[in-house]
Amino acid sequence: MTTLTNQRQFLTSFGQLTAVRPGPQPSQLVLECGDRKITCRAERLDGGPTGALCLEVDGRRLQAWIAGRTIHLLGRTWELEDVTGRSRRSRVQDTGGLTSPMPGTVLDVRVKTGDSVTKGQVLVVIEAMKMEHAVKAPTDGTVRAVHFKIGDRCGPGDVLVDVGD
Amino acid sequence: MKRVLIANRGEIAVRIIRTLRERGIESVAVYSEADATAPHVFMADQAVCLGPAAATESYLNIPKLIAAITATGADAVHPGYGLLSENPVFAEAVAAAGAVFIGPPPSAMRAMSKKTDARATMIAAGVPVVPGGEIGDIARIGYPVLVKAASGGGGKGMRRVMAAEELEDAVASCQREAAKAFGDASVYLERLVLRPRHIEIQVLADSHGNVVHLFERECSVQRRHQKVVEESPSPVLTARVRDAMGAAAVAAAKAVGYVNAGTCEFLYDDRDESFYFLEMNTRLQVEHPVTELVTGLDLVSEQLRIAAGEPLGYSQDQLSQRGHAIEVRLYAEDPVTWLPQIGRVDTLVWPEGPGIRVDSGIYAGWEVGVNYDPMLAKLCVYAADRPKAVARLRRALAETVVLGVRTNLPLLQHIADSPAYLAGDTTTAFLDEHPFDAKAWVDAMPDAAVIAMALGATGTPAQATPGAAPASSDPYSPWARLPRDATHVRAPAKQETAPGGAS
Repeated sequence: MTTLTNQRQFLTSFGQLTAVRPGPQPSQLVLECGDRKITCRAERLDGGPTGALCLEVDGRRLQAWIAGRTIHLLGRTWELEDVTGRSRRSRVQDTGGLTSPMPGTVLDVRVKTGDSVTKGQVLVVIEAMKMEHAVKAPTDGTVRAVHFKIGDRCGPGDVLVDVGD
Repeated sequence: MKRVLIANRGEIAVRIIRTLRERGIESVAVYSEADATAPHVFMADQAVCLGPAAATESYLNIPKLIAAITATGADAVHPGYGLLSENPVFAEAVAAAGAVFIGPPPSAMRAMSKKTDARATMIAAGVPVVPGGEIGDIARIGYPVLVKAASGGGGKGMRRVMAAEELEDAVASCQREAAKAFGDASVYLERLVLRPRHIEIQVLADSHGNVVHLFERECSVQRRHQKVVEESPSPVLTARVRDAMGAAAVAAAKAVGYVNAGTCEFLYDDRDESFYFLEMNTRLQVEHPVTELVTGLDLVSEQLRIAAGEPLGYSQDQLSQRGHAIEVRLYAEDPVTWLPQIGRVDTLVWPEGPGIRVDSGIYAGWEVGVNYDPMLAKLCVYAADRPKAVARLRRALAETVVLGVRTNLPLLQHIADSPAYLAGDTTTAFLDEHPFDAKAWVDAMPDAAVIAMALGATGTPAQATPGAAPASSDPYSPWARLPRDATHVRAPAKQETAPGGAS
C-alpha cells in the first residue's frame, strides 16, 4: 500500500485549483479546494488489472484508470492537470491568441494586421478531415499579428491570429 | 462466393470480415501505409497494401483496388460505407474485373446519387419530398433554408441559412467543400423543417423483384448534421406511420430498380405526422446494427446472399421488430467543440454483460491520426423496451474507458442521462436545446478523482518479492503443494522431450 508523501496540486479545465497533501495521521490525506477542506483516509492498493490504479478512500474500494491528465473513475472521465511546483503565473492561459483547434490546412485568412474586428467575425478558415472550421473573433478588437497564410499546415494549439484591444 | 475483398477500413471492415468468417468465406483486406497495423489488416485472411495514407492514393484509388482484386483472385467486393461505396464507376470497374459488387446496380446508384435527380424520381413515384429547388428559387422556398451539395452525404457539404444576408457566403463555402469532398460543386436548396426527427427505413431488395423493409431507425440526435445516437424503434412512430413510411421506402427502391441493402432517409414532423423523403443511401449504413438487433437478421450476410443471386426467402409479414436497440458513436472528438482529436489510445476497456454489442476499429495502442474519419467504435445496447435500453446504455457507457485521446464519451453520457432523451424527445435540435454542460461535468467530479491522481503520481506501489511462492493458509489449495521457491510450474520431463511439444 502506498500513501502520499508530498503535496500535489491539480487544475481542472475551468481553472479550479485543488491541493492534496499528507494528513497528520498515517494514510490520511487533506484535500483543499477553495474554501473546502476535507480530511480522509486514502491508500493506493497493490494489484488490480494492468494499467488500473486501485485505491481505498474512506473505506470504499475504487478502481481508476489514468493516462496523462485524463482519469476515468466511477464511470466518468475527467481531465486534471498536475501543476505541482508551477508558479501561479504560468498556470494562467494567454487569452489573446486564437489557436487552431485541430491539425489542418489554412484555407482562408480574412484579416490582416491592424484590422478592426468585431466579436464573431470569421478571421481564419481551416480545413481538416474534409471539413471546414471557421476561427472567429471572441471579442471586438484589433488584429495584432497573423501567423499563418493560406495553404500553411497548422497543428492543434498553434496560435493563428493575435487579437488585442 | 469464395473470396471477398473489403474496399474499406476501420470498424466496418472488421464487421464485414466477422460475417465472412462465420460463413466460411475468405476475406481480403486492403490498407494504406497509415493503416499497416490496423485491426482489419490482422483479422483478414490476407491483406494488400494500396499505397500512401492519402485516401486518393489508397482507399479511393480505383486502379489500385482493381489490381488488388485481380492479384488476390477475389470474386466479390464489399465496399462498406463511405469511401467508394456509392461510386457507380467503381462498381462498374469491379464488374469489368470479373468480380461481383456487393451493392446495388450502378444505374440505381446514379439515380439516387445526384440528390436533385433523386428528388424528381421520388416525386414521380409518389413519395413525398421536402420543398426545394435551385438558388434562384429562394423566393419560392423561403427561409430558413439548407444549402446542400447535390452529390453530398454523411453530413458534409451542408449549410444552414437563417436569413438572406448569409446565403451568398453559405453557397460559396458549400460549393468549395462539395468540390473537394465529392468532386462536384453543384448545390441546391431545401426548406429547413424546424425541430424535425430524422427517421430512416432500411430496405432489402433481391434480384428477383422482391423488396421488403426492415422497419425504421431514428437518428435524430446529431451534431454537425452527423448522427451520434441511433435507435430502433423510433420513440414516436405509430404503426400507421411506420407502415406508410415503409411502403414509401419500398416504392422508392422499386422506382430505381434497387437491389441489395439500402436506406431511405426521411424527415419526420411530430406535429402533423408528415414525412418527407430526403435521400436514399445506396449502401450499408453505419447504424445497421440496431436493425440487426431488433430484426435478428445479419445485414452483411443478407447482402452476400442477395449479391450471389439468392432470393430473400421471406416476405414483409414474416418480419418483425422485437425489443429496443440503441447505438452511440464513439468519436475521437472534443465533447464541447465537436472537433476531431488525434492521439494514441492508451487505455481501452469495453463494456461487457447482457445486451451489449461493440463494433470497434481500434485497440489499446492504436494511434488516431488525421487521415480518416475519427469514429473509433459503435456501442450498441439491446433490451426488452426503450426505458430498459436507456438504462443499459447508461450502464454500458459508464463501463467504457478510453484514455489517451479525447473522446465524445462525456457527450454520449450527457445524452443518455438527459431526462429529455429518456422521454423520447429526440429531434435534430436535441443538442442545441440540451447542450453538453462542460462546467457541470467538471463540477460533478468527485474528490476521489483528485485523490487518485495524487496517489497515481506517487510512483508504482511495492511489488511482491520476486520468486516468492504465493502464500496459502489453505492446506487443500493446489498452491499449498508447490515447493516454496517455485516461480512457475514446469511441465513433466516426458512432455518436454515430445517432438514438437511446447511446454
